[in-house]
Amino acid sequence: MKLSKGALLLLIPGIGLFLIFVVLPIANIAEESFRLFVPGHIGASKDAPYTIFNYAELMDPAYLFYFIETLRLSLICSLLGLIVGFPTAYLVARQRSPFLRKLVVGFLIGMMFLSTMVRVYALQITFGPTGFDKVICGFLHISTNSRFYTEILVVLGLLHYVIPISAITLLGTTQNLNPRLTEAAQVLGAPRWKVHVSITVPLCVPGILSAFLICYTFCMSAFVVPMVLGKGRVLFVSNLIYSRFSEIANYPSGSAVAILMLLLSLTIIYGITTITSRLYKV
Amino acid sequence: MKHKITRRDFLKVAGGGCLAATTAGLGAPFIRQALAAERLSVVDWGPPYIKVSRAVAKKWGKAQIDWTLHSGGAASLLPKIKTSWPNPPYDLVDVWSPVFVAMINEGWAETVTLEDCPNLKDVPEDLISKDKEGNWKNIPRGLSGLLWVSTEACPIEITNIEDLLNPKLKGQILWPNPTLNTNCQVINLSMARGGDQYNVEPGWEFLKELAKSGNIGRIAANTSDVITSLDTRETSVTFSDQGTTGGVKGVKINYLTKIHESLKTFVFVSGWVVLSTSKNKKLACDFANFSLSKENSELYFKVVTEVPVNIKAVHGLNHLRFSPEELKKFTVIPDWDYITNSLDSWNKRYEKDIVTLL
Repeated sequence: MKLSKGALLLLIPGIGLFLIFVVLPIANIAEESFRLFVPGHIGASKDAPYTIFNYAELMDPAYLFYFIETLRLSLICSLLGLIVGFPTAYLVARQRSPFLRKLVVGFLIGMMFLSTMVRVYALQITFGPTGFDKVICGFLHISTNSRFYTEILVVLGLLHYVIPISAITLLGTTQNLNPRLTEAAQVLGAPRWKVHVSITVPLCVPGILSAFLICYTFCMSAFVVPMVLGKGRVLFVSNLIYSRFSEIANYPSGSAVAILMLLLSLTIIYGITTITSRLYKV
Repeated sequence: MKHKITRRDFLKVAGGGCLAATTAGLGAPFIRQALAAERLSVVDWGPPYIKVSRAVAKKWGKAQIDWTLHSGGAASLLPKIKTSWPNPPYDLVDVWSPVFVAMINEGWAETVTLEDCPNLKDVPEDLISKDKEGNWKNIPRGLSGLLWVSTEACPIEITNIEDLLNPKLKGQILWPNPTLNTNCQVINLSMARGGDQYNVEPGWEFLKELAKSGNIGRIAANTSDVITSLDTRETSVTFSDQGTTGGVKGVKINYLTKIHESLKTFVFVSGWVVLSTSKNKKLACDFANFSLSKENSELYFKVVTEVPVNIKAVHGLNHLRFSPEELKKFTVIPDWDYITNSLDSWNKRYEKDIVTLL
């Protein structure tokens, strides 16, 4: 497609803003990540020499733990988000009562506007030491301070976001699905579950993929949820970045972690998109 | 009557509006400057510190104060100052010993004299931080300690540091991350196993044992975590500072000072630093000086429960009153310069060796 001069002119402000607010800060972080940090100082000095030390130290196997933890819990949350979000979206799309449909959509959108701090502290108060943690953990025969329970809290915190995001994303996909296809399959004798597995789900793959990627990237960059609900024991990569920038003032090392996380996220998203496209011809 | 808006009318109104907006825009910096001259921007910790500072400010009454609270450790203020340098939006900051060192190293702390702050005459000079030339760089407020505490909810009586490994303490220890208390907790573990502040290796080994034991129930990232966790009885043993533990009201606190020589108290000073970029240095010094008076120092002790540095002020913190012998046995005067410089590597060590075991 060839763009006209007018269209190009109209694109200039957008491209300019993108360069100033996205490319420039990332380039700045990338440059900082190669600077040498002298302990006791705030960030790298302007004339600090370039080094690959900040990346080399991240090759320590211990740091793999943080990346695996972040990816693992993000994957669990994204899948759980889809498991709850997809049927919700499907039910809303097939709902005959406009009032109920508006009510559920309004609720989902309302959830998106809820402040992070409100959500996180609501969970903390309800399921933390001031809430029902002893009852729940007693029932599950686990300690309130066990890692398992802490992980459950973090997953719950992330699901607060992920379920409305995935349901809203999938709403369009399920609405565009032609109901006659499933009806035809049922008329031909297919049981309901088989209709969903062999017709509804495959036809919704592009939407499911989009919802998954949005949820996954959101979870991977989550910061407040693991910080508050993780009790300092479940730490995401974003928490490592924060402590380097905000607590230790080692900007070069924080920048290196941030760049590595960015590259990893882009690779994963590219990988998932490519594989799914090949499998489902999306 | 039919009212018609002509193009000329519209242009007049629009032109007038633009002119007014431009005038206001150009004047804004001067207005801001004029307002700034009568306002102080002060950074302090959350309760109980802010409570006493607000009360003192109310009595002082010479200017409006815009308060900002530390988010996390006081050291987290440093990057904020760095990124906004040379125009940080603060005049006066309440910090403590290791942050004094960092601020002096960066050249951010304004020199203070007796003329600026007459109440400093009642403060032992040893407590005032100095630069290489010997200039006074801070206005101390309280003398305190990083110390071990247990609450009445603690299942055992802590008599020495090895008790932390007692299986009855499962999930009961609130461990501060290395950026809180500048990792003095690991230094203490190290001293108990033959190390010192320059050799913390035995401390890391001890902490590994502790992490594996399952006794650490939560990691504290800030002072609010300490207060909430102890107050709600989620945990019952920790290493924290006097001021923070003074904020715990829901459960009785036992200060584990002068109990066993393995349980050390790390002495530090907290107080004000006037930023060298402040446009209101005189006003900032005046407020800091006012907060240092005998009456306000006593109020500081009552609310924050730190020992006031003003020698005229009366206090009753017996657990922080050490005889010369006890000072030798139970306290540590940290080498803040060394500790501040080691914090980066200690934090990485903690991330690599400890978090994975929790």
